[in-house]
Amino acid sequence: MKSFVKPILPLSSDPSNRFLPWIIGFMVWLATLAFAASMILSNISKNWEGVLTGAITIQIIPSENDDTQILKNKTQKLLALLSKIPAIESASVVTLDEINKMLQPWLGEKSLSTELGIPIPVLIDARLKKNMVINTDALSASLKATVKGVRLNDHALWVDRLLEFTQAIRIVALTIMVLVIISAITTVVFSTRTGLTIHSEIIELTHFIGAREEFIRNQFSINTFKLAIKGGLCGLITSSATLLFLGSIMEGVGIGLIPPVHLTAFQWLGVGGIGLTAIFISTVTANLTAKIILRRMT
Amino acid sequence: MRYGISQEILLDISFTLEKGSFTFITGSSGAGKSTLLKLLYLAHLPSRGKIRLFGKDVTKINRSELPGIRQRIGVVFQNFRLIPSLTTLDNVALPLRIAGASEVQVKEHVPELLDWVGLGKHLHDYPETLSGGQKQRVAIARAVIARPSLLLADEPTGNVDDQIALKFMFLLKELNKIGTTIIVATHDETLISRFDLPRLHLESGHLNFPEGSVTNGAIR
Repeated sequence: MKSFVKPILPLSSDPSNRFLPWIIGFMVWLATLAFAASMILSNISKNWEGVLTGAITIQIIPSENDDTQILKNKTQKLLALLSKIPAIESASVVTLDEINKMLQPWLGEKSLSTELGIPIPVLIDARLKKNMVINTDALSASLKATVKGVRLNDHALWVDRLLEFTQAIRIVALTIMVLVIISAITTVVFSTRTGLTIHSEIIELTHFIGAREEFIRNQFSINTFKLAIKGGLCGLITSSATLLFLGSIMEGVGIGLIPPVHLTAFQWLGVGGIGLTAIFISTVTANLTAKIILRRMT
Repeated sequence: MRYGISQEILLDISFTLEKGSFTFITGSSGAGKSTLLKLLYLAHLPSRGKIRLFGKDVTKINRSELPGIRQRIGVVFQNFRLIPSLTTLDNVALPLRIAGASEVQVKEHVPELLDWVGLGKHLHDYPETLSGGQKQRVAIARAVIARPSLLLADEPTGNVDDQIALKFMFLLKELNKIGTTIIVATHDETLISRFDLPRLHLESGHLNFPEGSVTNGAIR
């Protein structure tokens, strides 16, 4: 038997029909932004993790008696030592220009040593080989034995703190998504209940004419499906526009501070999936709500 | 039969209608005619006793079987109960669509039937634009479109003038000739007297068989 028929119940004139697409659209927008935030943070934390765990920084803090030549000698000694360690792929001195460039977002165009007169340490950036583990304590001791006043930074503390921070934000984003889904379900439940109450006389009539429960249920789920498509599409379009807009702004602002803020193609599919999920959840919720209430009505 | 904890509305009623019969249910207002019809179109189940329809005890069937039985019953409601948001065509097509008929069947049969009841020019009109008599004919068309085995009419002539009431009765006679079992609940004695048909008379919830009302043992 066919269960899909033309709309019998005048659901399109229900007050809930006017606000449901807006609510679904807003929920999709919120859920998509929360999802995107979670994904972007995941990308950023992976990026940071990759950059920071794959490198160590060695600082030679100049003492009062150190002139340029002494510093140069110390640097050469350390570079020679580092080149003999199998886990280290490369080691190079960070030039003054590079340091100035890194600090540019905070200090502007002025040079640290020449214009501001701030004594700066010699920095050696050492890159580790992939999948190689290094004993930083042993390395630190070895470096200190070679050159006094040298300091090793393996970024572990930074990595841990950043990961904790991004993880906390991801949890908040996922909580927002769950709350949004619960709110969407609640809205559809109330909308369907209202529709069933408003049209109870027609529903009763269709029962007397021989309508099966699924006939009535389909009236509600098809109507909700149409509204959810409208709302879901609007939510997706506005959230995609928001993400693209934010991405373009962040690209301009985040030089040096934040890695590029963008989603991968697969993550964009996930964004689309939120819209489809919203449509699916709304339709199923309407169907199940109608089923439960119709059982009570008959 | 009783509603909730009220006193019983119908008491000790027992009768059988033969297939293809035409019967009046008479009685004054509040005698229980509508309640009896509601029991017959399965709007309610009796609080005690049993009802057999089409060979099945409807008090014992599964709820999943109810739609199938209801689809074999056509009902003309007292106040017609047309759906205001649907056109004449869609109102009449409702039983067909509920039964899963295709749109091709709907487009073929509904206009033909509406033409037959004189509403061929009102296919796309909404109930609020129709007169009482026209609404009644839409209600009848809806009740018969799916060719029910049993047709129930609750005070069908209550809201129309005598001429339309007579037309309606002749229409029912035509349907009866093609094998539909018909039960008409009415308190319109003038109408009843014009037709030599068996009648069940309800009085304070009890069933009486007025003398001469039972023909050929059709009702017992």
